[in-house]
Amino acid sequence: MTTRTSKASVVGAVAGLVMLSAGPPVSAHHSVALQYDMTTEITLVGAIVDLEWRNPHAWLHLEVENDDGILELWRIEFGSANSLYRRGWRPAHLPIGSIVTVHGLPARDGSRSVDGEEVTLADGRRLFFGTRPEDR
Amino acid sequence: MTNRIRVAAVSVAVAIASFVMAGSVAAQSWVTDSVCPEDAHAVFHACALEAARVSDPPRMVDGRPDMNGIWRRRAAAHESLEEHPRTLDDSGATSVVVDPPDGIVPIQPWAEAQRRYNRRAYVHHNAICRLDGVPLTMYMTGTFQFMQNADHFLVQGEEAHAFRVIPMNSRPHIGEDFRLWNGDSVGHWEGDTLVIDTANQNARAWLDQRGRFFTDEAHVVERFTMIDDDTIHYQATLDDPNVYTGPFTIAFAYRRSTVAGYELFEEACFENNEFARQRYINVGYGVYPAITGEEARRLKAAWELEEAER
Repeated sequence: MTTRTSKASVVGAVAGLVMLSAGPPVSAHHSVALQYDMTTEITLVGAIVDLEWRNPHAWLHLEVENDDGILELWRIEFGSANSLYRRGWRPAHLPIGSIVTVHGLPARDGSRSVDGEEVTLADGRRLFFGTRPEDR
Repeated sequence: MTNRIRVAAVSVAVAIASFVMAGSVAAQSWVTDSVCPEDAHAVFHACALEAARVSDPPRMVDGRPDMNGIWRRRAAAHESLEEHPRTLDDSGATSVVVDPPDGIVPIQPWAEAQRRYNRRAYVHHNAICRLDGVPLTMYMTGTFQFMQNADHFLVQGEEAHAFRVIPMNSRPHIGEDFRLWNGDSVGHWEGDTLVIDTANQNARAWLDQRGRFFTDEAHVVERFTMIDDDTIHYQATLDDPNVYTGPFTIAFAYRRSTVAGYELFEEACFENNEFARQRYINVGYGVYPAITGEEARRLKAAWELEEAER
């Protein structure tokens, strides 16, 4: 774990009913609904402090400033390193200290962990998670 | 960007639209030109039975059908064997159950109650990096490599780096003292159909995410038939009188991958997965302990007694 090197910012949770027919499932291999609240979308902006590039699930650790100005550590869960690689992700896309925006689903157990669906890099490029439609 | 938390005006719809856009540019990665192009399972099964009568697949030097290659399973049976809708959590699909023809798993009443309990009480074994058992291991993940010679048939998947090395010698199953996650599989050929017979499973795996289960006395027979160069008709019949009213058969297609140079990667499940596992434990899910045949008979008797005394 490294120390934070750049100012992290924000975010908020947007609770809202998701139209079930509107989007593809976020996972193909086991139910996400057991761990994460699929009716709520959360957005985090923070600085990367660690990347666990591994199977069966990769994890991104973000430092995010809360409403009281206190830095909190959040963990973002993705699919396997293998699936991220095949979608075009590389560890180099997510350097320590860089600021990213993450969209995902909050954990049902109240912990600061999120099922990550999409990551927007500082330069605006977006990395998607989820099984590729052609692989479903 | 402010440093304070705010309620983001991020629209869920925008996020979803992004997903759709990302998916729309991708092409299918399997051969779609087939004598049986329809993936809907009952339709495919009926077509494949007819196609198998006249198929002349590519062959090994020993004359057996040559199934070497990378294959995509065309099913979402790991979510549910039966027909289920597309949701945020499921891909959705038609039932893979082709016998009985109504597509409904012929589960006994006590076992249906147990299945519902399973789904409420236990985390799916795949989510905590356990092996998938047979037949689930043949449809849990999406891509497989089949390799064969005269002596062995090899099934290699990426999920948990699981593999099956199946001797093609019709030897007897290993002794009853041995119970394995994927059981003991033995193969033989019936004409141009590869037949794999599996017993000795520890029954800690389910058939799908709906909690459908079997006992350690279950017997599974799988049949692989090439109906053209790029399509395999897969069938699996599960017989477990402890849980089901009779044997039932699932069927779906494996279609040859079109990804040039596709390689399976190591997927060493588990690489420090404890944090993810804890997410399940924290919200009350346990680890399924398996039900032996003997336990199933006791549970059935207790359930029937309770029903009779209602």
